[in-house]
Amino acid sequence: MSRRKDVPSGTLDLLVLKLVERGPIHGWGLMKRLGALTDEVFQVTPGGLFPALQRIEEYGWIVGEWGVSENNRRARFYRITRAGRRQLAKEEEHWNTIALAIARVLEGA
Amino acid sequence: MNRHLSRVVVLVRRWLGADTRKRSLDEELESFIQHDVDARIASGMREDEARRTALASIGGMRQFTEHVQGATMGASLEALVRDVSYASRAARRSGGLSLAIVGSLATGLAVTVVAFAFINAWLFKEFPGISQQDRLVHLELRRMPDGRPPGIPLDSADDYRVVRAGLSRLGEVAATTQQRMALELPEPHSVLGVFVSENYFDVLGVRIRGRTFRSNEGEPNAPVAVISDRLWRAVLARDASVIGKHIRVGGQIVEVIGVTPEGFAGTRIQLGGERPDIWLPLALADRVAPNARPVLRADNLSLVARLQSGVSADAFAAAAQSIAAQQAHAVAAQSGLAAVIQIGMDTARRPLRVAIVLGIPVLVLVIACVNAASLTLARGSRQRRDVAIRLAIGASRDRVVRQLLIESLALAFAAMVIALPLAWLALSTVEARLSLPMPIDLPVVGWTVLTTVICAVVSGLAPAFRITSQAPLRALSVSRGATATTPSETRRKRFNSVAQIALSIGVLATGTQLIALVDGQGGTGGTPPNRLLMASFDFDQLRLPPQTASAFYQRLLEGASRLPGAVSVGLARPTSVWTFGRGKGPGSVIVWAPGREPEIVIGGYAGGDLFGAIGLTLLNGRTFTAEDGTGPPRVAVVNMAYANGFPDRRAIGRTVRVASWRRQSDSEAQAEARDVTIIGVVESAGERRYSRDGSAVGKLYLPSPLGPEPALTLYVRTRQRADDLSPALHELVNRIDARVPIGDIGSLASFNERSMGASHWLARISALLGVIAVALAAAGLLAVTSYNVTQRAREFAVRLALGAEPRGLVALVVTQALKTVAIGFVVGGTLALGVTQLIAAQFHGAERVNVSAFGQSSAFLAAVMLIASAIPAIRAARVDPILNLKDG
Repeated sequence: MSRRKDVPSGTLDLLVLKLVERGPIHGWGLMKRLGALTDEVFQVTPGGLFPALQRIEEYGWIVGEWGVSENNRRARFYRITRAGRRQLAKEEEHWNTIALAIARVLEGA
Repeated sequence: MNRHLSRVVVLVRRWLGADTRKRSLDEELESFIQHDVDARIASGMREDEARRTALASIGGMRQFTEHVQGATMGASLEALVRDVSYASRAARRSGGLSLAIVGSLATGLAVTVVAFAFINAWLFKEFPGISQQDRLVHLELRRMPDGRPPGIPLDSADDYRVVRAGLSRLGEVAATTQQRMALELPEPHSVLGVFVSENYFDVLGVRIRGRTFRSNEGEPNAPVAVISDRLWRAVLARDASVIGKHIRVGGQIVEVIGVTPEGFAGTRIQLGGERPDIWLPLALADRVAPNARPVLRADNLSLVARLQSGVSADAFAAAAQSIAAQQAHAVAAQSGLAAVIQIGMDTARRPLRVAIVLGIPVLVLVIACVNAASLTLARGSRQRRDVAIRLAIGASRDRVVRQLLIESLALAFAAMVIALPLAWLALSTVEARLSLPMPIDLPVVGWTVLTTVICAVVSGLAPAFRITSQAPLRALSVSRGATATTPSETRRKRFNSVAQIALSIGVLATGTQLIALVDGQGGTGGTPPNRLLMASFDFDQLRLPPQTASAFYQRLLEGASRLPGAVSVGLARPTSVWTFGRGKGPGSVIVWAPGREPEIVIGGYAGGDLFGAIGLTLLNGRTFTAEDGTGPPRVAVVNMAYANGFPDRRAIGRTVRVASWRRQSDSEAQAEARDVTIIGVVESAGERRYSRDGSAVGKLYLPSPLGPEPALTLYVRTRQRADDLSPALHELVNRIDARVPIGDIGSLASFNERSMGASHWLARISALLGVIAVALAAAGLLAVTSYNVTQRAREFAVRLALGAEPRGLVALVVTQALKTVAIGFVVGGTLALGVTQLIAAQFHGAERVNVSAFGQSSAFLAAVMLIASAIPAIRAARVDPILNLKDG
């Protein structure tokens, strides 16, 4: 069985916001960073990532600006906004509650 | 809601900047691929292979751009479709509660739609068929003996001509006066007719089928008339060749030159009042109404003016006032009176009227919304686990709130779909009674949609926040069937119930109070109002000689007393028993009594057994004998109110001088006066609206007429419903003289009803709304209370398991429910008391509080709460606690 898993539904926004919070990052970098950080367990495809980026940008949680990447190419870098930080805090708290609940159920079973 | 609003803003912005965004996305994807290609080359791939693989991983540039755009653009629409389909599934799952919500909102909305349609028709389309109504003003010419309103109307039609000529540069002034007329088509009809100045239709801007009056119209050799659309449809069977036909009005043959547009009734429309059917030039007044009736002396010549463009109502009023003052000065040479002009703009009181009409329907709608909110909350306790799971697997709270709001919207719109036809039905029943067409047109539908959305948000938002506010962990850890009710929630539910009880009791008490008030203003005697048939006749309109009239009335008295079901029959002038708002008109006598100022007293000729027909008991002395009725009057009967005016309150045996009152001079009246001796005192017939303290007005009756009596009213006391006798009476009149139309016919109840006009209907509709409010509140309380008690099954099981007595348990639940009713009763009572005081302060003789309606509605709601709480409690108390606990 492959180790690689899809990102759990509803958590992609949380993961994107968390990665963007660490500093400006472009789409391709974000995809690679996610793979690296999860030891390649979470697999996010461009088809999933780009709609998510567009949506999150529309909510005003991140903003995209054109810049130059490490290999000297033009790239659109995303930066978190104040509203984005607030949303991130909310989603983190929400996730922790669920994780705790699930863990308790598993321990108790 | 902020989030949803920002979502809308985003959608609009995206739509506006679609091209720029697409270009930016294309560039970003290109950059993404380039980075991917670089990485692949770095890992050892050839450049062309790297590029091909990178492109394959996204499935082609163009397709990918479309996918991303589609995924974001379609997301909102998809979400909406999902929400709506989820809402309909949820509604089906909790069918009973959803139906109750829809029913409740449909009732509240239907009531509001009716109110909207009424306001729209009554206040915003005030005068059907009249163009540019905002340029019209009403003028009133009045003499003010002491320089203060109200004064009395100016007497002469010359005043009108002077004012019209003087104001011609600022606006055009038309004059009207209305009265009953006998119409022969060829069968006799008694209709309301209006004499108008020849410019009347042009001033109002009415489009007449045919033509309007010409400036010289009304010359005796070419009399003409305009008839109403109603008369043309209902009586003339839409005769296409009606224009140019000749009809007989008051014995005068006139040519029909035009038909008014549908609904047209002039600018003096009384809601629920009679509408005019024929318009004649003022110049014809003397020929059509030839007798002593002072039509052109203008008791009620009312003026309406259309302002020239650029002329303000104030400027017009000022000019009118100065012209009137000049005219008054000319007249005042003899009378020493002043005159002023009163201008009534009809839109000035509109906001207040809207508030009054909307008040009670909005309260009913509030009750319906509180119902819907309570039911949504009850439904929510069922959904709570569902919602908790959705929140746990990652749905955001906003998303779930939006979902629940869409459910509320869906239910509210379902309710609206039911409410509109319901309202239409109600309107078509009331329309005829109010003689006011009330269509459900675009503005009404617009207001209804807006109200529906407000209802959905008001009744759905609070429960939605409430349902989603609980942490998923807590909601999930509470087992199925148990209550997850917090103390604040219990308080909220109780607050809802108290509000419903208070509002509904308040509305009902106010409505019944209004009915008592309006009915109390009408005429009363000993005979029940629905057992007294009244029919009026007027020989003045017919141009028949006085002898014909007296012979007719004699035969009418004899014939009517032989009608099946007639108990006693009397004759008197139309306003000599009750005046029905017409004041002391031609139905009065002047009385000179020793020790009293000469006074104008209602009364006069009382033929047949008038007192028996009205049901006035003889208190002292005797009533008239047949012998009293022969020849001129020698004796009189007075009522208690008149008798009380004597210093020793004794009337019998006193001799007074009486004369018929026709606005003649004092010396003229003295010359024709006769001495009569008072032989009896009867009870006073009531007509409360004319006396500040509810006491009766003094009256004096005579056994035979003082002079010719062309216009009399027949009073028949009946054994069965008075209205049932009217066909037989019509037949009798036809047999006696087929030329004579019955002017007004109906029971005393219907005369009272008509004289109170709109107030009568508004009071009854308010009371009906009160009943609807109580029924709505009862249904809501029944559903919510019984549901809440059922929800407490587990709590009861625990209490029982711990040794509580089943009886004690039921008592506990019932006490809690009744406590809610008691609080609602006190709050509603205070509310009703406040409103009643307000109403009572405005009218004479209003009852202070309608205790019976108040008590009955409270008892009813208490019974509902008792049933709603006791039955599920008894059921829960009977079940073995173990079963209930296991179920959890």
